[in-house]
Amino acid sequence: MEWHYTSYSPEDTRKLGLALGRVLRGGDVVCLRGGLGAGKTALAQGIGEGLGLEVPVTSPTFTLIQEYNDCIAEDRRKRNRRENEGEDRIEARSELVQLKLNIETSVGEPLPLAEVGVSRLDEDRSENFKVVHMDFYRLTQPQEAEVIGVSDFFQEDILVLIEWPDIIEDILPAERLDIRIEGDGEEPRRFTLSADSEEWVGRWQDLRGGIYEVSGN
Amino acid sequence: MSYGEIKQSDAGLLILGIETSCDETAAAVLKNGTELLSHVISSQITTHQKYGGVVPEIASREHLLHFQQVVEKAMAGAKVDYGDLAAIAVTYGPGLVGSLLVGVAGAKAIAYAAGVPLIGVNHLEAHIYANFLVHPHLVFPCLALLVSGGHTHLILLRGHGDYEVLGRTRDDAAGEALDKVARTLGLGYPGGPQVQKAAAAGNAAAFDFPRAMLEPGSLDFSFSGMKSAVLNALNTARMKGINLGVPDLAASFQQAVVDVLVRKTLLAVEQTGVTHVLLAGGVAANDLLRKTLTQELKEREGRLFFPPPHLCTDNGAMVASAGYHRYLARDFAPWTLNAVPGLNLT
Repeated sequence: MEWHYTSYSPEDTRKLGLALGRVLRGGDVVCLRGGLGAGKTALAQGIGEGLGLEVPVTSPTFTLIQEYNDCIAEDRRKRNRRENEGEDRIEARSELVQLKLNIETSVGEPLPLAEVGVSRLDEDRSENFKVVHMDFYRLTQPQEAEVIGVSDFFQEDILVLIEWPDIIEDILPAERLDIRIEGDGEEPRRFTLSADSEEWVGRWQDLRGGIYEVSGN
Repeated sequence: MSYGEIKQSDAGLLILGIETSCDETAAAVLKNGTELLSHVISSQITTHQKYGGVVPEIASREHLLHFQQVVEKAMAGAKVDYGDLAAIAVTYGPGLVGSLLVGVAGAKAIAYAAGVPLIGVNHLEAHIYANFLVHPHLVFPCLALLVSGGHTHLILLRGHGDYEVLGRTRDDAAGEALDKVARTLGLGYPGGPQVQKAAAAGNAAAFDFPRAMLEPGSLDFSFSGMKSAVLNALNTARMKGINLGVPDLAASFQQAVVDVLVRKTLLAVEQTGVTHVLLAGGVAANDLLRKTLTQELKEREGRLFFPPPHLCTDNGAMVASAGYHRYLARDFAPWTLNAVPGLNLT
């Protein structure tokens, strides 16, 4: 399955991440592909926000592997509590409601321009996973990634985001979400999200049904 | 074992500092907080130059190979025995887990065997403490601008071990942006010194790259857009068949990065009223940054402090320096000390 999204600014990119962050969970592997300046880190930052990480996601190019231990569970618990009490909901809605998404299905059939709002948060999502953000921009050989134990991170209780994953293509799990970003410089960025599993098809529907509301007009 | 008494033999108060968080295996013996008896760095930079970056597999393997040799050399150079040490200080994060583990496990083993206390040091704190090696009479409060390949932080220091992070990068670190631009311009690794070298022959006003200041009053940084602006300029020129001068690009980009670092630091001075600023981290070795900040702070009756270049990059002396002050505060680590790759500065 493939989905497409066009971003006209880093802010649009961040918002796609924000939406994704709300459906990602432990065990997921997300590959972010695109050149320097395409917006991989911007997307990861949005994902971090959507997940409710307490600290901002920054580029892991230098550190190669950045772990966000425990940041998520505490914050999400708090947020969910607040959401249940109805506090944050209005704020979250006002932020998202201005986002207009033109989502197309893989058949290329454009959906109506979506008016976005938060209708519900998935309350069943596990709170016990950590987020690991990797960046292999500087690696030149697959063995380098293998020796630092990259595959050890592909676990049920870890959500892995990978920038520049090409070098470790052979050890990537088949069940993953691939996000390819095309477009240089001032051009809009064309996002292609693809996943082979049926499970992701359902998740994508969750994403639209759960977070986006398609407006009647 | 009780660590209540300050252990000061005739040889003085000796701290062995060990650093393995990234690409250097380093150890140093520090006497009484300021006197460096030895300072050993097994620099892996020649290995990494081939790859244009720090390659972790190589890093952790090299740390293992060099660890014992580097520590023994530091001890021999200082002419002291392990039993003379007051404590062993080691970086336990942030950094690459494999690399950190070599240092932490090694330091624990030596400390346990020698019967001396262990001190865990935050790598970012250690960079700041490089300043105390050469400016022991620094008074609090002061500000620190920590700029390296992995970090860009503005920190308020109220006292030893008492920090408040006022601002940090929201995307790329300053050193990372310099590295990526250097690589794109074909200048090699590490990017900072290469950009500085190329910039010397260029015109800093040739390109007007954006200076990302974020929302008014914010002390956070953002270098990702500035990096993209250089890439855009290169792409646009390439499509038109124009060849842009590398020295001009390097000089203009360096100027943009320095401008942002300086403006944010001055804003922190303005907001806090604190006028003494410490520079730390690899990018602290940048001449333009040092000169500009020195001048600007002078005009505000403030002062800039920075370590000599060889103490700006990763080294054991800065770890020993931070360890010395933790020793005075009796802040020891348990034997269960572990590597914390994502350690924050709190």
